[in-house]
Amino acid sequence: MQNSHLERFEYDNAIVRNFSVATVIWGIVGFLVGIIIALKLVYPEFLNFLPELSYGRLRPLHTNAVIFAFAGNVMFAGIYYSLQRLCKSRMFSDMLSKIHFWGWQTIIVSAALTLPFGITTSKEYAELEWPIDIAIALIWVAFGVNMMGTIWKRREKHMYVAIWFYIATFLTVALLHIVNSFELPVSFLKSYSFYAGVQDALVQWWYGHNAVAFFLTTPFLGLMYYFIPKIAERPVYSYKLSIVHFWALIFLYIWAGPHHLLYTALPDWAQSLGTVFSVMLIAPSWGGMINGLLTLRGAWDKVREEPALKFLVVAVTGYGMSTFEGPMMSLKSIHALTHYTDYIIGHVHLGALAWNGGVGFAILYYMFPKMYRTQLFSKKLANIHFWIATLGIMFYAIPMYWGGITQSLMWKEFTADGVLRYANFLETVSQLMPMYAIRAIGGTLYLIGALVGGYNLYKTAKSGILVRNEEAYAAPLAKAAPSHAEGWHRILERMPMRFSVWVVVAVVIGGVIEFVPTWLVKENIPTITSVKPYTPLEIEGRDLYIREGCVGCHSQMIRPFRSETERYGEYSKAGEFVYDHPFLWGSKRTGPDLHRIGGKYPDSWHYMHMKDPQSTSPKSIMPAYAWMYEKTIDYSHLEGKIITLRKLGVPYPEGFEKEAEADAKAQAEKIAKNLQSSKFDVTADKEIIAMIAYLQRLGTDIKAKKSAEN
Amino acid sequence: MKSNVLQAIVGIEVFPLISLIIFVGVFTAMFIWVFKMDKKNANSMAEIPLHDGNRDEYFNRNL
Repeated sequence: MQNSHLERFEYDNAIVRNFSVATVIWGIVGFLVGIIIALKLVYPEFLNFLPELSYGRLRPLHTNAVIFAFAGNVMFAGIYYSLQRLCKSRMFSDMLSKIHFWGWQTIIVSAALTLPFGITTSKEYAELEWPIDIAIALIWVAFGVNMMGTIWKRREKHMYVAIWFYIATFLTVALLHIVNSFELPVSFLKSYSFYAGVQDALVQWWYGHNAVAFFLTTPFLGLMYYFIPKIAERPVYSYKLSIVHFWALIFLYIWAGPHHLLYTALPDWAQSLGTVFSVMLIAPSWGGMINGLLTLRGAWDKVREEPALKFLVVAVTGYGMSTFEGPMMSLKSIHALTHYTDYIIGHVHLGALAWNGGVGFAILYYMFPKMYRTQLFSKKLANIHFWIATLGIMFYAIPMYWGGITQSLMWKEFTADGVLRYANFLETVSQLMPMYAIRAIGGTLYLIGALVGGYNLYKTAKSGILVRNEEAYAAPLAKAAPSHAEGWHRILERMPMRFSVWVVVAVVIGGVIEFVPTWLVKENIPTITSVKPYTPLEIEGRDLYIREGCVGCHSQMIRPFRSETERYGEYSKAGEFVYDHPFLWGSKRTGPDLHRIGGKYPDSWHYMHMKDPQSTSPKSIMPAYAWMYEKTIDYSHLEGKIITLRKLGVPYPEGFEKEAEADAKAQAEKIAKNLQSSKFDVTADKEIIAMIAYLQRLGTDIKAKKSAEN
Repeated sequence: MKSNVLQAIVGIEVFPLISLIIFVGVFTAMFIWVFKMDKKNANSMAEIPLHDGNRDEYFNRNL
């Protein structure tokens, strides 16, 4: 290589540093909120004096903080660091880098300013309301343009496999986010999902599953393929295997979403499709894990010395464990046992803490000394961080696995006489309390580790000087025509746009095959004539249910098992949800299912229960909702809500929006009178009345049909 | 009931067939290509992350 041919350029380290610092800060915030909600399950009234600090509102804040703020920022830090070096080029545009960074932080702040106030769509990992959704799309595109531009102007002939994973991440997340965020605004901070019931569920879990796949997996696999070879100073074990890993993974992942909806009212064929592809996913996932671990063959002495490699080994092992659990839990028989339980919480935390956290902290420990031209402040502290974090993961995951299976078996246990042994749901909850306590300890250990890590990184930065622009040299790409000897994929790798098209084709195929029949089925979802739209008061109640995040602990989907129909009533039918914008099936039963709660108890029971859950349900870990007894129902958007829902296909008659408020008030008056007759001091304008109206409606349409038939 | 619903869709029989063909096709093509890939090329690409091209590396290499 002749010096005269070399071009001098500079890597942008400042942007990597910014994302890294944001990672540490948001990570600590996210873990802290996690510990708070973990403690709330042990002490239900802990920090419950403000509605903004209630469990239902903080839970989505925790998940969003950890996924989009912690994992998101560290993934961007790693991508910006590795992409520049893999492309031998500075980022395409410093301005876009800045817009991306500050835009993303603004989105995180706006999440923190909306979720605790009950401004949420309630769709898991997509809770943010429509203006923020639009901002996410714009910032994501800024990131994508910046990345594709960098690849475009690169000086390295070939796109290393890590870059493929980054491209797939950008394209697929854009697709997922846009399709899942179709919603019709009612007001500036309120919207209804474009889809209803079964469709909404299918789209949501197509999104939810692939958000895990393409936000928490593929970018981190890209980071793994860059940083393990980099830190171990040896090439990846098998480049060919990495190619198989990539194409098989992105092709299979997108089909697997319905495994979140096994035994629900989703059509059976879609459930089976999800299962088959989920089981197949184990092959590329483990191929990738083995590829990562075998890269360290002959370098295990380095693992002993290098804390970053230790984190990576735990990360890749955690990835292997999670991706074994995933396919297993997609088998219907195992799913029947684990779904709705804390097992899932253990599973996702193994992924988040070991895999995302492991890769994240590893690359921070590697990048900081490089960017600051210094040594890591303290290897000892990094090792302490590693061991505390690993211990924290175990203290977290094991009680959750144990508790999840225990509770599930208790839900399903019958006596010799054929009745439920634990007919009271709370008996199964009380059994879990020690597990919940240990889990909070596990989370605290992980947070302590992160604080130690943050301190170590801070001191490292202090001991050096940030090389904002790192000088580098590389020969420009020759603009020669491709030789005939080259394979088509090598040519493909040199063309990011064409490569991207193939990636899109690979991910779209699965989506299309899953969706088209479901759309066609739309008109054919067995309609149940007795299923009627919600009354205006019930809509207000439903929106309160969404605001308070009730869906975080209560499902509305009774599976067709005897243990469930005995406990909750008739299993849920697809046709019952046709007016549910959004669907509220939920994915976790910290409390019992509520789909048939309507008419099960008198209004007075609900009134007392929400005010002081333990008064009606001793040992309940549900927090009280005192504010709903003071706040008055806000009807100001009711008219808009009716109009919006009608646009979405709910058959409210023309002009009904004008009568809606009077209708709601009349219904509220009836409920209030009923409560007053039970000597409760309540007026019809309080939020609790709307909530009771909604709860009492749940699942009763089918009951109405039955009583009409009798 | 579900199968009745699906039967109501015109041309539904072709869906599983298309899925199978796409699926088998994609994987066959990928494996053929990977196995035929030149090992030397693969190895050279695997080396990419080891060279940052930064100043230290460049000058050390040219010492």
